[in-house]
Amino acid sequence: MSPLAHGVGSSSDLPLPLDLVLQAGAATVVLSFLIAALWWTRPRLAGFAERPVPAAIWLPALRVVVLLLSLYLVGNALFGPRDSANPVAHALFVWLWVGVVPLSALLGPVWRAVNPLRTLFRLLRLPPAGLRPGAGLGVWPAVLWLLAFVWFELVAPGRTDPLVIGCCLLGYGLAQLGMAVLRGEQWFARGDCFELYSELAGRLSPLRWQVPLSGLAARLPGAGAGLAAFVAVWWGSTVFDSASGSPAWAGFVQRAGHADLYATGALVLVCIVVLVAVRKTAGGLDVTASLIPIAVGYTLAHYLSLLIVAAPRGFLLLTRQWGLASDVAWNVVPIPSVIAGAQVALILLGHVIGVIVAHDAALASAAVDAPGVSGAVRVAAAGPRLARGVPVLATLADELPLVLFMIGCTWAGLFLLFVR
Amino acid sequence: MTVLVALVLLVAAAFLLVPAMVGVKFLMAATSLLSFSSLFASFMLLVSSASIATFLQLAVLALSRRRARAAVPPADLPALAAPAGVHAVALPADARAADAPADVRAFAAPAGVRGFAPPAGVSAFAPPAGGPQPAPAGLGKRSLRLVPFLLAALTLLPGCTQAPAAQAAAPAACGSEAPGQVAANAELRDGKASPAPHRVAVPLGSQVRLGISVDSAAQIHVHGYDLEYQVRPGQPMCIVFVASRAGLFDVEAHPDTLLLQLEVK
Repeated sequence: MSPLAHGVGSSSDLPLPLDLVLQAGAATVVLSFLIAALWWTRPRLAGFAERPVPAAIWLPALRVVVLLLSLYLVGNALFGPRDSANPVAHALFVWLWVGVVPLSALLGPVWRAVNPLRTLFRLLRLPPAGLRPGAGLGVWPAVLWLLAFVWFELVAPGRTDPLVIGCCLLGYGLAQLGMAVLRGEQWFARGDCFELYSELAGRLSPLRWQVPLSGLAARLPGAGAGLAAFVAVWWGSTVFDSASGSPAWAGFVQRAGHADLYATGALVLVCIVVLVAVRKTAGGLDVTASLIPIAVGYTLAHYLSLLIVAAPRGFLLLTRQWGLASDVAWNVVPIPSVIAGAQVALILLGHVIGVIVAHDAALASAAVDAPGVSGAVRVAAAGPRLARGVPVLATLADELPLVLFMIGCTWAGLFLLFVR
Repeated sequence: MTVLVALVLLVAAAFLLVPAMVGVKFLMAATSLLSFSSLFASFMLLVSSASIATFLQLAVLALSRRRARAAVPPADLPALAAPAGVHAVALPADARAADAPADVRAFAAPAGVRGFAPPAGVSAFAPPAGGPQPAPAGLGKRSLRLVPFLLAALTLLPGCTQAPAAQAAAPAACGSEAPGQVAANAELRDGKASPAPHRVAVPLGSQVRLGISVDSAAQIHVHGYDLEYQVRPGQPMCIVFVASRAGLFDVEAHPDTLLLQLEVK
């Protein structure tokens, strides 16, 4: 067999150095409380709109290109070589699953713009309204699809066999198209897990939102338990990927046997634990929006070297199949210390953005509640306050559980990159 | 009074530095973060650093409140005579803070928000210019607010120590271990690694001698270096190579049995 037999996802990053982890952990705490108490004293993010997608001429062309590339990759997976020369594993696990995150975080929901299933749906002139339109189960189908995908990526036996990947992709496409025929084109926005994934990461985009980060303060699609579950599966699967690479886990699975069974159970368990923590820890506030930057930061930190090493390699495999550039090789090895620094920076940045968003939401809800207090009480209470009139520490008390929970998430991410 | 409170808070924060430093020292010396004492030390570190941050904020708030109050009286005195006037003054400010998205956009747009997204914004901190901030106290408060950020930056500075080295490898079956060499043994028995999968620290550039024995034919793969060998039962194999690339690499018996991990650095 080939080196690819373990999938493209096997990471070779060194564990983070202890001093970096400790400093980052301390900085997390300090930054969180500084932001919450001093830096961000007024709600500034609410009430901004998304910029419309420019109706450029290149967008339909790009859609067609992505559709043709997807069709080629699936066809090649089904009928092409069944060894490591087949680029479909790179395309699915690196380009789509990892690559969409930085692209969306920069440019907005890219996968919604170029989704080949959507293009196919329009080209086939399927009924846009659907045969039985309705909201159905909200975003829960996407949660289940995402869980199925991460199970396939991390646990499933034979997951790097191009034939298996091709069959799964074909099945996924047919199921999605069938549901879209039933529910209408809007199905893709809530039922296609990759589109929802790209949509959530795209909320960070500085290009698509007038004020950076205001996308996270706007209403999320299908906000509520379903979306929290989606973020939980996203974050939890990355956590599981970190943890399952450790020798301790390998030793446990070897002693216990039934590796796939235990891995499946552990994956689902981690996702459920994250979901329960997300829903129960934060009190009355909706945490999902503030967890998105943390999930994006951790995903990028975890897969950074994979993206650098494997994404161009997949492209080379593709061109090599067409007989182009057969002597070009991509042997870039990232310097471990640079990767470690970038990982810590990404995790901290995600955490800071998450705290800002959570704090902004708390301030905004406090500002809405405030007019309910009578004017006389406000005047009496105005004396010992800051001149600005916003009782900063009062909102801090409300959001304290949330901030502590986010510190916990960030510490967990750092710890996992340390013990990996 | 507020100065006294602020001083007490600052002194308390300074005292809390002691347990924080002890925690950091202990964690630096600890070999594993998973032991009870290390977890306790990190808990201490968490609690003390959070308290330091909170105390500092409270101190800064106390001081800035004093300044704000000192700045207010001239404007406040006539208002005291006519409470209705205070009411009228207070309301528009509330309405502005409350629920007027157009206004929120007006303060957010001019400055600041863009600078908050990258971490570089920490050093380039600038309070928004367009908000309803009192002009006379603004400058002093602004410079006062920089203090916690400077302290936060200081905590990040001392970062040049090395993580403790891991344990040395066991003596090898394939030849004895010479200086500059690292030897490790692994055995595949009933599809399990023996000893249990573990991590071997390898200095960058040293020679690695891997002694592998199996009880059924297996393909042994050293990731990263992409070395692959077929090993047969009864014929232990010695894989020798120079660890020229830093990283964490699995040594596996295909398809999926981890034997050990090489941590090259």
